[in-house]
Amino acid sequence: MMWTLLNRAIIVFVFVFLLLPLVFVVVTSFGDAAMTFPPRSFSLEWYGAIPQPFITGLKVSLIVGGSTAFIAAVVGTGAALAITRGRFRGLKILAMFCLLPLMVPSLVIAVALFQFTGILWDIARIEIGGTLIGLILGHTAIAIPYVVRAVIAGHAHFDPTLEEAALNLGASKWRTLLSITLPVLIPGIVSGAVFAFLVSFDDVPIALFMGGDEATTTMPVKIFTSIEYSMKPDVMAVSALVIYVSLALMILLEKTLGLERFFGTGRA
Amino acid sequence: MSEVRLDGVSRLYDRVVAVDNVSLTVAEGEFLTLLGPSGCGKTTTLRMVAGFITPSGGAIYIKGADVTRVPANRRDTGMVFQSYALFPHLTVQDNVGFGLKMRGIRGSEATARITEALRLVKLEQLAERYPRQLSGGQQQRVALARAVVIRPQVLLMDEPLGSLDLKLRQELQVQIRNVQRELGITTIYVTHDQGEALSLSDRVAVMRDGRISQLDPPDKLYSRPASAFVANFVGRTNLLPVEIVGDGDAGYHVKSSASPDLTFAVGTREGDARRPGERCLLGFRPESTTLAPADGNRLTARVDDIRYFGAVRSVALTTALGNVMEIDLPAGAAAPARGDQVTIGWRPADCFLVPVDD
Repeated sequence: MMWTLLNRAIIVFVFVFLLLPLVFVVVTSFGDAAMTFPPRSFSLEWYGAIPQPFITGLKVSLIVGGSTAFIAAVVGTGAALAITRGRFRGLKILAMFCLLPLMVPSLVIAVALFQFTGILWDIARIEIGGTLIGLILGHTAIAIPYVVRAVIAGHAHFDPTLEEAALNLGASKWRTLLSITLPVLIPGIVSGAVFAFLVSFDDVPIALFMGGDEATTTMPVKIFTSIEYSMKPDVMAVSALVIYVSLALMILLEKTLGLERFFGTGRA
Repeated sequence: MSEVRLDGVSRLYDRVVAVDNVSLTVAEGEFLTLLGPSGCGKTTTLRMVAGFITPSGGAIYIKGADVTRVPANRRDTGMVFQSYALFPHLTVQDNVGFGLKMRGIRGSEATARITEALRLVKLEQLAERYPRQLSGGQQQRVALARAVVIRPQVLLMDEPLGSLDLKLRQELQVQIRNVQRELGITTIYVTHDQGEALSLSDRVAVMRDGRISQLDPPDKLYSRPASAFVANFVGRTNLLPVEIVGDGDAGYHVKSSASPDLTFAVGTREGDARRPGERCLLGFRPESTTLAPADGNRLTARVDDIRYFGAVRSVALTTALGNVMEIDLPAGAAAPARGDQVTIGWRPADCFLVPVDD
């Protein structure tokens, strides 16, 4: 009884600890100009007053996030299949290489990418710094591990006799991959892609280093730079928007595929 | 012409021999079962016919054509797996239609053949369902329909009923046999269940350590096993060490190795002639044994235990020779009690000789 109570108390504490800042942001975004908490009055005016640069930033974020999710899904699925099924030298290195960005702070990756763009310019006169492509490539690098993990987790439940059955029925190896393997693995691929999108959508350091002008400034970077100068409720509204998008994606993922599948708690 | 022929087929895994020089021929429309304990090489053999495993040696022919190096997707075999292996993202009819699609058969012909195949396994009304909405037995019937709808040269079944419970297994055995007969499709079936092998097959190949121990029709396999292994694996058997005394027209006369005064008559002559003095094992089945026989072979024994099974009572005995044996008595007959001294007997025609070295 004691333990159950303690257990519950800990769970409640963790949730409060994790969610309170978000609640604060969301509530303030409906508040007044004084940004007191709790607000003395509620309104939607700050959502209407979101300055144009933030809207542009949101568009950039969506473009970069979508492209990142797509590329990471393609590359990550291929890598995951190679890791789970391959029998070649360097397999372990490939596996480590694919999961490494999870362990390195994204600031370090951002600095490395920044360095890389300089080298690329020096050697080949190719400029990816300050371009959307550079931004997408940088985000793809940190997003791939999420897809790899999700697909590997999904692959653990994959019955290899499905492929034998397809071959037996006359399908070629490619046909089997396209008609059977990938469709069966699609839940893992999609959940990996959603996480890839969120990783990109969330990121500041890489976007800060790789971004340049207005056309390559993502929303988080815009928020980050604008609160350096002024903290106004419209920033709260923008931040709340980010929370809504993330929350909507999470709910979608949970409703369609189940989050346990991704986190591999074994209850899926 | 034979439908499937294996010619000295072998398979090694890291120098371990999984299948060792197996040769067999399956006739057109025949139902042949590979029977054996796990690790005997039966599944490996089947998978080599399907093309999932390449033989280390030997050749495989389907309809006279050498398919040893032909990839699985161009072999024209239909396979049913123990795990069903239904495509989870496709409906029942799309699962069944997959092989047709791969063969470029579409439209009304495909629809007609899918319907026909589902009718054959009595699942027409579930065509729109997904595999996860079906029971295990229904899933395996879909898998059977999917394998036969392409009208393969040979139907391959790898322990298809292995994960079903007994009652369902018996129902599906009947259904598999009916479908196989109706289509007249050449079939190779793998199982470790001897009852299944006996009841379904035209012929059974008993495998052990990668080799075929015996390949015979079920009744012959049961009544005339060629080795102690087959005698024990297919049904239950009582074995007595004996020595050949004489060789007559009706069969052999043998004496017990443990007690030379005891002689028995064996009314069968299978395989090579046995010379006097040769040691072998005399075998007879529990159900062909009677109590207090008027004539035939006799042996005295003490009753150790009696178990009741409904149709029969199974009596465990220790014979005068010291062997432990088991006999089945009709449940309606008078039963002995534990500790009783009894005389058991069996007809010369109901026993057989197998080699000792096994």
